[in-house]
Amino acid sequence: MFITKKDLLNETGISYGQLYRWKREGLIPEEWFIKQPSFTGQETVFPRKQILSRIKAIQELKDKYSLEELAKILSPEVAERYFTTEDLKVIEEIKDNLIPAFVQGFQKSNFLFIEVLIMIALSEFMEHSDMSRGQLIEIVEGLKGYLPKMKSTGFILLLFDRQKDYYATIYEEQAQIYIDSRLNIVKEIHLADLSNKLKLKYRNSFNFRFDDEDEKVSKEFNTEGFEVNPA
Amino acid sequence: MRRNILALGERSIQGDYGMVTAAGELAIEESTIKRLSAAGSVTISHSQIKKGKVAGSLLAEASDFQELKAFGSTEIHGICKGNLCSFAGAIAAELLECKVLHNSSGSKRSNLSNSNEWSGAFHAVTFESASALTLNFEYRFQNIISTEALHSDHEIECENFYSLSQLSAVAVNAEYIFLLNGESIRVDQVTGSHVKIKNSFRPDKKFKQIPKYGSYKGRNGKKSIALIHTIEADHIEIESTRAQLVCGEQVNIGDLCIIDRVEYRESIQISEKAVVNEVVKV
Repeated sequence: MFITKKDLLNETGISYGQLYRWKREGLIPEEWFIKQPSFTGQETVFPRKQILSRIKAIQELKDKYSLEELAKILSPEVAERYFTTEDLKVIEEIKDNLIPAFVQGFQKSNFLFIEVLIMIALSEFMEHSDMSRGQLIEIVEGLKGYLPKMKSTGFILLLFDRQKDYYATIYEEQAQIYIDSRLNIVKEIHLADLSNKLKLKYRNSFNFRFDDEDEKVSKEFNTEGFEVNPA
Repeated sequence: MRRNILALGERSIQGDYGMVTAAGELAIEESTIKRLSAAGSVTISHSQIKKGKVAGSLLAEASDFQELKAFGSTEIHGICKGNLCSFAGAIAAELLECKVLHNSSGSKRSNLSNSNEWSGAFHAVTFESASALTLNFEYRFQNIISTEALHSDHEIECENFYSLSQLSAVAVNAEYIFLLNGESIRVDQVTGSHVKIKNSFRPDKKFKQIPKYGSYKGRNGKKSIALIHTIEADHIEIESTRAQLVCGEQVNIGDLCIIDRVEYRESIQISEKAVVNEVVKV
């Protein structure tokens, strides 16, 4: 679950200077630097999955964006805009035929950024599972009350089933969670990863927070789909 | 044509001025002033001041200063901008953006117990602290140069950090860190690309290129030991330092260092006058 700083530097090939520069620039959240006792007094460990994925993203993008731009792109803050059903049609990862189901589930037609992330995650999941439209609506209805309270994307969406009946839970990235072992976890989706990809891919389509900068980036990141991590 | 004014008592001015000299209560609104010298209570709003010197209390709102020196108490409302701003005394700012921001001591030597009180938000290319200060306000500084006691309960972050005097902080994280082994250095964690802890300071090319107000000559530190728990950086060069853990790519442990454990990735040099308990190549 955690990776030590030494192992992180070895695995990723980055230096101390880069690590701490990226921390200063806000590319790596301060809360990922977790102090724990060790034989040298104290050592820093990181949430393994998140930090490796973040460093990979930084390494891939740092030559195309300034560190300041990257910090905005990778920011966990929820983009402050509402998405209409017309906006949803622009997002390829949300299947057009599912939009009415989301409207029915959320019981509205203007959506928060975090709700859009949930739609993407569920759309992707539906493509690779036998979850029915009715079950999708039930999950949305079950989650919708919690989503407006989430002010960052630092959450994980967990989907699990019990005898083909699907359920979901959302918890903060750093939180420990213990699920009834009778339930089968079928997907684990880091909303921050989805958010980064969404912001990158559609930065020209939507007024995300960083869109007041020059619009030099077009669709160079469009080739990559929104993969979600298998559980 | 620009006018010159000598204002005594209570005055309000508005317009384009050459030299304004005032004592008492002066209110400046929507004005452009080439040179302002004032003692007393001064309010400046929506104005541009080329060169200003104020002693007493200053309230500035949404104004630009080419050069401002304020002695006494200062309040900044809205966003004020400056090329060089120097303050001796307390300052509270909603947001002050400067190229060079200077915390001045006036004439007498200060310490943390009688330090200037700063609050609010400050952005600057270079922040020079020539008077004892606690960094407990919101800031964004590219360079920090401290020649008097500096304290922070949080991590100090900037690009280039020079401490030429007393320093106590939870952590310092900067691209380049220079600590002069002076009166007392106590920091839990020092991290960055380059870390130097030395017994003497000579301004090098890098330092000379930093925009600043003060003039800095070489200086020698006092014979003391810097107390640091962990140092992590690509290039580390330290003298007279007591540390539990030193981790770096290229590490140079100089005279009078006492280090529990050194982890290096590329190269290591250890002075014969240093004590290092454990050295590990990682």
